Amino acid sequence: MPSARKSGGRRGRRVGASAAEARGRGGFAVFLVRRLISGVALLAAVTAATFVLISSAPGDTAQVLAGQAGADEEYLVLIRERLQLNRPLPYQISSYVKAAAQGDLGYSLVQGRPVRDAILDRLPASLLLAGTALAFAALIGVTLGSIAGSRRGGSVDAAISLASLLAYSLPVFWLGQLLVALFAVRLHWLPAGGIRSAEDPGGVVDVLRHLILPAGTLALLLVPLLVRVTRTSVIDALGQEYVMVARAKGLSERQVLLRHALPNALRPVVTILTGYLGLVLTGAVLVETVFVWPGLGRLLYDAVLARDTPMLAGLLIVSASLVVVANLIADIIYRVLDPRTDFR
Amino acid sequence: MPRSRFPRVVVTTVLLVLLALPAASNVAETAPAPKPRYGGTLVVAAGDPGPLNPAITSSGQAHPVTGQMFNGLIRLDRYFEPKPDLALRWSVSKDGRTFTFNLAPNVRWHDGRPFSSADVKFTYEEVLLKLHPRTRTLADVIERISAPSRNVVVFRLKQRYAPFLTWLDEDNGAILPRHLYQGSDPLTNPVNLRPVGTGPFKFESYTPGDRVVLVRNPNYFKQGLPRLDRLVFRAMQSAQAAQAFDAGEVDLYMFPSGQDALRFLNRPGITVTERGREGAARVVPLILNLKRSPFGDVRVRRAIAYALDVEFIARTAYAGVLRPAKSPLTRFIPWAYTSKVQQYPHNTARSNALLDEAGVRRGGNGVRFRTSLIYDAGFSRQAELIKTQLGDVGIEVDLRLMDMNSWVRRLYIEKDFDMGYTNFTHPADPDVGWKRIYVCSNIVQAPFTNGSQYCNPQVDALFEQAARELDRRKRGELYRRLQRKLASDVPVIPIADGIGPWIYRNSEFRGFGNAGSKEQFAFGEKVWWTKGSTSRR
Repeated sequence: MPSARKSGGRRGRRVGASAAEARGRGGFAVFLVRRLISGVALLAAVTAATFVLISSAPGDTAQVLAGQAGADEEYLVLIRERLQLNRPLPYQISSYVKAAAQGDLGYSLVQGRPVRDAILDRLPASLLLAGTALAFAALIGVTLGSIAGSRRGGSVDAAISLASLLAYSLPVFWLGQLLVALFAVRLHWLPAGGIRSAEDPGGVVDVLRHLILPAGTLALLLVPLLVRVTRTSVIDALGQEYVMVARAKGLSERQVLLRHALPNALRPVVTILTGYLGLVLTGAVLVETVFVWPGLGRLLYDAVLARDTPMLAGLLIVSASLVVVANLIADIIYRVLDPRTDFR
Repeated sequence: MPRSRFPRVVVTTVLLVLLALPAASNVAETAPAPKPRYGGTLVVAAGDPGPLNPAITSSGQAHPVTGQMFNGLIRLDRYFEPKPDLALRWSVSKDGRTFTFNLAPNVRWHDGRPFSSADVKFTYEEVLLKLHPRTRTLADVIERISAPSRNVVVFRLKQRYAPFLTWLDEDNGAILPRHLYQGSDPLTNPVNLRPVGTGPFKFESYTPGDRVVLVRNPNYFKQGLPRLDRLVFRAMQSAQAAQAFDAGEVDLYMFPSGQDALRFLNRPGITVTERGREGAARVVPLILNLKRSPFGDVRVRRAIAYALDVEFIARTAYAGVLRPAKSPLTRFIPWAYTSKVQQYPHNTARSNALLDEAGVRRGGNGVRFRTSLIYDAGFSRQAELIKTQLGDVGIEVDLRLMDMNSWVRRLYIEKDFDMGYTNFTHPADPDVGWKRIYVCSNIVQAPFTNGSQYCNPQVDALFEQAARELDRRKRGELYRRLQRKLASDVPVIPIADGIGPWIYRNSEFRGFGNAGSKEQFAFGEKVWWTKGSTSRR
């Protein structure tokens, strides 16, 4: 994790900045290379761990394909041969890694298609859901957190803190069903689930109507943490010397907050948001299930149920890649927010 | 929960439901039949089907979709009698080993190519008998398949096999286009995701995890069918499907839970019915591991049967949707079924006496022996009731809830269990779905086989004899003998018998109840929209 000196804000110091920035640039390039190397190592570890975990769990794809109707032993052997499930685990891992390095994530017999195609098909829906939820969550979380932090100890702070605590403790499944029961079943304002309606498939307005409930639910789950982190950061920033200087210059509290305290308080928020980017894509399993959203979360859920090894491995690699990329993005944003960031 | 304290209102409600369910089932049957209309879209809540090749899967999620696009040689009516589909008629040789099918003329694949007997021969030889999880067992039955002319296909069997025709429907014997599959791997052929069939609907699109859209086949070989323009299958889990149905976004809810069935029962404009799902009839048994003491002793097994109050379990855990089982075989195969077998009405005194007689006596703490029950989350309520009821006769049960895969492995692959709870679908013929639970040859390491490891050569011989007997009356008597024997030996204890309903909006859609015992795989052919046009434009 990069570090930055605590004293002084982005607007709070200028002296000696060019020397620090020059050091920072060199350090940043080295840091990026290090991150890329560790990212590749991480992906290899994730792949191996995925295979070990799946193979140690009971049941396999052949059993699932055989279904409740039952099938003879020869059928199970035939499917296991097709999927190379009867090969030693190290062989399975090495042949998978070799293929994955060439962009081939394998073939899912359960889905009846290449894993890469299945993931790419679901990615837009997940990006739409995650992007919208993150944008909403950031807007609401940072706004409420800033207000609460700047009015520390007051009734507004207490109300926001209490509301975020309540939202944090809501179970997704329950909340989702409740929202569907209210807005879809009772009021008929919004659709109960899916990404498009049966009669009007694909229109922008149609998709947006379907997006409101799942994105709103997902955002609601992310907001409380953002509120709490922003609030703490803002309180911390407001106690810094450069804020005192800004106040001494006669700036209004609003100006002090927006121009000086908030930009410096955003670093931990960026950490959380970018961290969520990777997780939201494959981690929104419950929200996608409740709202029948055809994204990567549901694909992951189905793959677990079906013991679909190639699909699970592919999804976990994509998820891990996203986390690596998200962290890199976070580092770049840190640098934009504070050029003194030391990446060594 | 002690039975005596169970709220009276719940019992009353359940009894009302029991009475109302058949009434609801009759809605579609007794209403006057107006003239069918044309056009409209039926939206179905079902599972995500996966590959749309019906000849390589027995998936209950795939066939509701593929059944609208493909045909088998025959279709089974609601009593499992074969009726024409791709085969208009058929004849059986005197020795019962040669089946000659005359195929419907002028049938075309959705891509315009003509269908012929060569497609049938290819599909069986290269796909069904090799890759269909169930139908591949027919490879031991079929000697050869020939296609002497364009519209005739002949199956020669190695020996007489009475249930042969029941295997030939779309569920077990969908015919694929040879010109698109020959020379390819049927498991991975890309056509599996843009299928070409002969059925009433053509494939339009499949968005995995979201929907499958099918459109009317204007050249369907059955005149005037189908009546709808489109079918949209939306991939939904049970809870979401119920909400979407309630919100009016779905017209047909394919696999409702018992609770959902109750939720929509008696709602105006909605039919909750079992009709058309006879092909999914099942008996839910408690499987006992006969290789583990003391279950090898028939007196202990009978004692357990007496200890269990199956009436109560069916009423509560199954909300009255399934009935208490009166025989090891489901009542939905009427020609073979009998309830005139040894019954085990709830009787703890009799149970205690049998256990004492078997030498399984109570210890100082009142416990006779400890055992365990494995089950998956779908049977939690049932498992709790079994634990309570067996506790009443001194059998202490550890409940071991596990995910489906772990449970299948423990019960069927490793045989590492004392008692297990499961579903077993039986139709369309006792030889197909029922025999597998009991015969010695099916004590194998494969899912849904003979988990109890019961092995009785006399029973095996009766099953074998019944499979070769072509006279249904005589076959029925053999299966009734088997039921009597199995009810007496109780290697598994039948708990509940039934199907489970499906739900549709009868205010807008009619024509259900006309497509046989597996209508859930074929409803699209005859269903019509009440707001459609009076004639096909």
